[in-house]
Amino acid sequence: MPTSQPAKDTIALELLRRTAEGDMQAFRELYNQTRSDVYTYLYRMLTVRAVADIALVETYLQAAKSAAKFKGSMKVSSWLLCIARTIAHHKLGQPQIKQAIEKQVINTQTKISLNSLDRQRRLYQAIHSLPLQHREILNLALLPEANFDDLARILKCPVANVKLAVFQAKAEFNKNLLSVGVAQ
Amino acid sequence: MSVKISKLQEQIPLYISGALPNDERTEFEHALKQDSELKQELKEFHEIESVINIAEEITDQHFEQLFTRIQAHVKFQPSATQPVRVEEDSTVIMHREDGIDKASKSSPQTIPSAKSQTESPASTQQTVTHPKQKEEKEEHDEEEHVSIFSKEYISDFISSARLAWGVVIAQFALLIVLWLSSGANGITTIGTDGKPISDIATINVVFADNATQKEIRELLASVDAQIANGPTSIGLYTIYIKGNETDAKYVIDKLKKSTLILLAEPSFI
Repeated sequence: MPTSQPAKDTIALELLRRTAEGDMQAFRELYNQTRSDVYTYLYRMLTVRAVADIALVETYLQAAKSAAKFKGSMKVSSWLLCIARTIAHHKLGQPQIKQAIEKQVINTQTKISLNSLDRQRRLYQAIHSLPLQHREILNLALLPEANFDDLARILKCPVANVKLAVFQAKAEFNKNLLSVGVAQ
Repeated sequence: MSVKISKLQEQIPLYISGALPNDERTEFEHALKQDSELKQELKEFHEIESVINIAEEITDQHFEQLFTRIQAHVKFQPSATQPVRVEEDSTVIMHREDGIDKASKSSPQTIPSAKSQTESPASTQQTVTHPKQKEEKEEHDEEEHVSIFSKEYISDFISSARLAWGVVIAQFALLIVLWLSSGANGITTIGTDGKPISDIATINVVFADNATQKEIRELLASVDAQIANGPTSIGLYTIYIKGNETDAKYVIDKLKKSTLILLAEPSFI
């Protein structure tokens, strides 16, 4: 039977506490438990696998360094996403990474076209034409283990703002779909 | 769009990712059969997910490789509750010292043995110079400690509760002085303009595309609300009502029941 969400949160908290004491085994378990969401977020944001890999490593290094400072104001998984978010945004501000991402987006579009998945290519185009903040909120909203309350804590804003941001992002996505010729 | 549907719409991402508990999942699927709006919303999210997730499958092996990289560089910051660990590795201590030759650096021994004392003049030289080096090291360490101490003192002082309370008391004293100097009329800020503002609550709304002006007017009149701002580029309006947060909640619930409303949430802008 899979572990329930509250139980997972408690386990993660205990693992982080032990990590703060320098317990490498606990750190490894914490990594295994949380890596999927963190990587999914980073990959969706950074698009290039090698960059996402580096960002993941940096995220967990920072987490190990700051474990003792965790105050418990949010779930451990949300805290890790906060760190990942800071790192991802820092990377997105670097011109060479921006270039690599643009290249990757074009490559993926070409790859999809070669597989004659025209609709998929247009959808991909529609999502990648979105402004970063819209893409990010959709990315976060679609993470398996993050609900709107978690997102509010990650983004440091009220839940109502998160809902509005998701609504805005979806409205913009639908507009983009029309502009790339995909009927709803 | 009822309040319940709105809650179900929030659950769409969790439903897609399979993170919804069984009972909520059943409820969601039941609602899905009956509500075309929810179905459309789910379809949209599915489409977004299908393209946002174009990624190669990341294997456990790849994650393991990444962890090896993390492990190679990881440095744990000792927590405040942990005892301070004394650095016993002499090579590390020597690494911090400048001006010591390589031979003594590589040697883990800090006190020469009896054998080495009798062995060669070079080793005797090492024995003679050792206290000097020790002195230098102590001086250096002391300097380091002083600078660390002053840094720590400043950072402790800035983050100390004493300073925070000092600022609070100073501000409080300033307020008292201002209050006393302004006489019986009290303090009026530029923003308040003498009028109470606490009895106004604002709400963000988005109307359906097919809502007519007349319908919007009637709907707003029915909840005694007025438009304060909008529409923005995405059709977002800010409306206000006379009342507090509870009244706003009541109005939001009422608005959400109307088919003319796509979104109604407490305002943040």
